[in-house]
Amino acid sequence: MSADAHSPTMRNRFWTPGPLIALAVLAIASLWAVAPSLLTGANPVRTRLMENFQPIAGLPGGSLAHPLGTDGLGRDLFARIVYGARPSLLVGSISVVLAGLLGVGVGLLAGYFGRLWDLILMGIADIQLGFPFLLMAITLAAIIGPGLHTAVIALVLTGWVPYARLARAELLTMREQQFVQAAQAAGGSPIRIMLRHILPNLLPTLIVVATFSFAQMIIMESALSFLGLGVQPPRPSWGSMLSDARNYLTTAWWIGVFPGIAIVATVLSVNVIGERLREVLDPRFRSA
Amino acid sequence: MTLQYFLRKLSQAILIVWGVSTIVFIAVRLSGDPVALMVSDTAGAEQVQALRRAYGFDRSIPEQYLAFLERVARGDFGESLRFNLPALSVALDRLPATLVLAASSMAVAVLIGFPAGILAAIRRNTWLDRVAMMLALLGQSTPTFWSGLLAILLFAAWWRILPASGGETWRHLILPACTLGWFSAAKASRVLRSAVMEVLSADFVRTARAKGVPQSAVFLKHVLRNALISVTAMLTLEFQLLLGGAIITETVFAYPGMGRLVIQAVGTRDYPLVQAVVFLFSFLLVLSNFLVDLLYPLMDPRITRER
Repeated sequence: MSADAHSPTMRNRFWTPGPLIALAVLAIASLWAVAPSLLTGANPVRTRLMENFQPIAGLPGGSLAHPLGTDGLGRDLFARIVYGARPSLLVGSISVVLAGLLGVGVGLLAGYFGRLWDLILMGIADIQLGFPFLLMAITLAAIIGPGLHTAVIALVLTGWVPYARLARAELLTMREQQFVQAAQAAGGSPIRIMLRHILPNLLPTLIVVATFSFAQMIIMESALSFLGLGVQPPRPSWGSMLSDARNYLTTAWWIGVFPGIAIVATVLSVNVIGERLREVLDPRFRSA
Repeated sequence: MTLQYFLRKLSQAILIVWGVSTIVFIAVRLSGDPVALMVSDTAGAEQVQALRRAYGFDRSIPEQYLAFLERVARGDFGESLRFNLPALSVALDRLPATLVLAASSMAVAVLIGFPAGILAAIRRNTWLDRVAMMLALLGQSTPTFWSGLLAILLFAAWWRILPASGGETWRHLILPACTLGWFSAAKASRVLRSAVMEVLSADFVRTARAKGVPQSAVFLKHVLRNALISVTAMLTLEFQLLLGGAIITETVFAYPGMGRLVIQAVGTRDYPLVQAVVFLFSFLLVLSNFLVDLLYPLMDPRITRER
């Protein structure tokens, strides 16, 4: 471990420029997701065929009425990007919370109650390997139809395993430590020990894992929408806008560029914050 | 490699295939009428009844489950509604194209990611390391369907040097393979960097240096060889991610592989075909995992003796 990057002064200064910018980007994206109508006057689903394929403002044919131009049906691209933030962030955050709760619950149970639970959990975790997210999502979409609920179910069913593994592993090491044994000797119930003693110690690592998986889930949601298995038209989402753009790349490049920038900016910001959180919270990155 | 190790890994692989089959069975049963998934919307009531009998959906659930497992074992997923052919053979037809795409993406990932990761580890905390890791973070944050669109925009729409879609010649392979490989290269470089850094600080490397082994020999014989194990684990995982990524990349470039096939099958509600492709993908994942499990003991004999 090098001393310079982990000296006390660096550790205490959480908000270095990178994470600050990332936080600002996420604040904007969240604002778009929560109250899109406050941030754009335009209607994201209103079609005006007379105004289709308008380029971005400043290029010949573009106008300030549509700062990022319009798509093939004359819909305002900026408005669609603003409204498109909601499905990505909503699906990502719901899935990350549900997958985390499910995973930590299963992992703690398996770790605490021993061999049989352990065997079952590890068996299921192995099976997950042969049935990853996209296959799950495709199967579900074929059976119950495409949509946001399909995305959430697939993300939760495939996303809980890392949390379960982590919770189980941490629990197994912590169980041998004195503070847990003391709590047991004092007559604490298993539930109480888990909630009061083990979970708080697990939390920092969980937060780091959850942050990175949130970023992954945003990508996966937009991938599903891109494939036509997530958000259904005409509702705007970043993924389905890019799927639209495939057909017009030669005539209207802006449709294929700006929704992608929105995805990358959001995901990169979450990843940057994740890296910073890991440096601050993860014990392996703290030098003694 | 002991026989016991081999058998353990084999039974694990079989368990996974069985588990996936069970999940699919449960999902289909929960959805309501499984026959509705297997016929086109225009099918008459008689046809539906005949199929229900043929597949045994009038029998009890355990009986149906066994019949389902038996069909999976035989590779019988029914007839594709769109192609009127056995679903599995339609899927197998597209398998080579997908494997070619995944393998060439892997090559791209290794060719970019390995040198980048090794350089970043040797020149740790220099500007080279920082630039490489920033690019890696950017690569990991960029979904393949967008980098693919940008690649089409630049190389096909504007500069017109490569075809935007299709899969007839090797030139059609360049853009999809680079798009998919670039994403994995980002991960590969990060893993290799930390693997090399970890080995570099090990005692046996210090010993080798102390006794005067030339730098290049230390690096090739001690560092890289030991970093290889965690890198192989990563590569298997990467290959499996590439198979998944192929579904998206094939759709972006209209590349005629299994991934595009399965997305079209979902769109046309061709359920037997969806099932066949999903099982085939899943089988490939399990198979690749099994083969790499067999490779590990050759690289590190200690592994066989672990749990």
